[in-house]
Amino acid sequence: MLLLQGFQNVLSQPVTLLLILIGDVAGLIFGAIPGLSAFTALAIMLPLTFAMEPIMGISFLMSVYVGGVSGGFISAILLGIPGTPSSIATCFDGHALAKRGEAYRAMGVALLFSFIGGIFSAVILSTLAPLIGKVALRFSPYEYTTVILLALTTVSALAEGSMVKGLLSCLLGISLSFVGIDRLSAYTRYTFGYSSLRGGLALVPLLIGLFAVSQVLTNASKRNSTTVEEANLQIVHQKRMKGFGISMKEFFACLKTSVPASIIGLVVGILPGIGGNIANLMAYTFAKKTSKNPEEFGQGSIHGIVAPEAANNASVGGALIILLTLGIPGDNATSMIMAGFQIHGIAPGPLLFSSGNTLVYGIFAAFIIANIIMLISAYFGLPLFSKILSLRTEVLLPIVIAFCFVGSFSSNNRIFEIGVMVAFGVLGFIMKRYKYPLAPMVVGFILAPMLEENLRRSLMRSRGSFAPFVTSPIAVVFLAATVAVLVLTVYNEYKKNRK
Amino acid sequence: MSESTKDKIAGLVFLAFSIFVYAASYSIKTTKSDALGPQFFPRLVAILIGILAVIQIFGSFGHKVQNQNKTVEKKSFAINWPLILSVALLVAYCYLLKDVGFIILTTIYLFCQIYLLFPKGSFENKKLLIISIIASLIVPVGIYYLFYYGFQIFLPAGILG
Repeated sequence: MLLLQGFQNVLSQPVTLLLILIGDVAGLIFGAIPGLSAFTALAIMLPLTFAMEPIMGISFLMSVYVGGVSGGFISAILLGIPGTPSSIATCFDGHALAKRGEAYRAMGVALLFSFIGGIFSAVILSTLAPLIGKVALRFSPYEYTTVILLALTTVSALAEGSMVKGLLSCLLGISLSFVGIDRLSAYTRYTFGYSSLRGGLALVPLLIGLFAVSQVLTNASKRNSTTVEEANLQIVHQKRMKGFGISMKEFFACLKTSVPASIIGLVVGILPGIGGNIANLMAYTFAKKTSKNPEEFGQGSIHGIVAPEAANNASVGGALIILLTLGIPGDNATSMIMAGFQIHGIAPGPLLFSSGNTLVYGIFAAFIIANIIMLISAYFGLPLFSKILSLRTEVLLPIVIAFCFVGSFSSNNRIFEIGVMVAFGVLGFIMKRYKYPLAPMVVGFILAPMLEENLRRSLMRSRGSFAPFVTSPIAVVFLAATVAVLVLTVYNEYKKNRK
Repeated sequence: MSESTKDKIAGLVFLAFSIFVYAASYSIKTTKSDALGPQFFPRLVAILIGILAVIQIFGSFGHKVQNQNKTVEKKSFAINWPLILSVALLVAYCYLLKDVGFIILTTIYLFCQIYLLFPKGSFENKKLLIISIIASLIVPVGIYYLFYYGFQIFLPAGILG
């Protein structure tokens, strides 16, 4: 019922629909271009939402995210280069099909099952999130503290590279959040006398710097190792396809593959820190292992496209579940959406689910609509999107940065923020060089104030006693899970090192 | 630089950072309103960073023995000019934006950055050169007016203002 209201909310304003269409197409284009991703698209689009109403702005960002995650298959299939890390596994079979002249068939299948994965996760999101939200609404500070602790540990442990590096990155992010006014005592901390720092470091320039600017620096640093004669990307003449290029029988066979893949995507999406990048590979491996004809994988099996594409789109819904219910962003793209919420003065988290809040159902509706429009616009736009691949990243990336300048500047209307963006660009570049994952840092930065506030509120409540952390059953479960994540990761790393 | 050397350096930097965070916590004004106070959390985090940094430094010694045979130094220590110039370009952008203005400065930035990303000698290809020039000229003007009229975001006008 509430969901219907949400649809009404979104559909009553045709502008919102138009924005979702624009967002989807922009996302698809950015996703298709190797080197640019859903995150880059969000970074560029964020300043555009300043002037919009909350529901419009958030619907718009959501559609950019959906399009961005989906668009990766276009270059994965046509060029054999994943447009985004979420489509790595799509290359294996997708490009094999393209070499046979069946790229449109491959893209049709990829698109159709991206949609199915997305809708699956949307349905789960709109049924599960309100339930989780209602439970989370009753969380005391003790319980909230332990949830955040679990999220931070998971994101650090599951990120690429060693756990020590993940944790260091996370703690660095937490330390950065100390800058500015302490919410409970109202005194400033770590500003070192600079008045510009009094408000703390802003999320948008920090995010854009860490992920977009560092990318330009990485590409620039590799300039000397590339040569002028780049491999001429020859696109084989492709057969046009009717419909999505598969028969009903094939469709149902693929549907069977897509179900476990979507579930994998959803669950991986819920876990902070890994998201679509890992989900697509896991789903591919799972589909191959359980397939009756595993030898076809890698040779151009359509099931090899179905699994990763259903999984990466399903991970979007998973990531939105914890973002909306607990206010915990899992990766860089969801952090950007979190920034979008903040711009509109909305704090994602259990309060969204308190009674009388219709916004959250509007968001669900927008997410479902974004998936539908993605399917339609990509279906008709495929020939066009394929042409976009001839654009050069060398030209596009600086243009992205030009938009990032605007995004950072307008986040606070001062040039200082561009300086912050550049500083974090350099830091992000160095951290990547030294193999420190960046996602834990961002998540740490975002969640630290909540963690500290809840921890201190807990102890104010208990008059300095830590006992409630071990007497509340929910808190104990989260604490135990945190310890389990740590122990398991250490054990796995130990095993890997001994090999 | 081998991985273990990198880890050691990074570990030392984090160790220094943890000491810095801890030391700077002394200048935080404290209140008695809550049990922990505003100093507690930063100090806890500083200590954790310190412990992890030490673990990483010692851990990297262990790795060295394993990897010694594998790691062959192949990278020369040539200065990476495109990287340094890109950073310089970004820093200069921040400092000059207010005086020079968005449109002119972004045009210059775009052209230089595109040049720094293309492999050396790409601009001998006239088509690429022309595309780069056109992009550098059109994009800043487009962005400026898009945000000016579309979203009422006023970017620094500088000389043109």
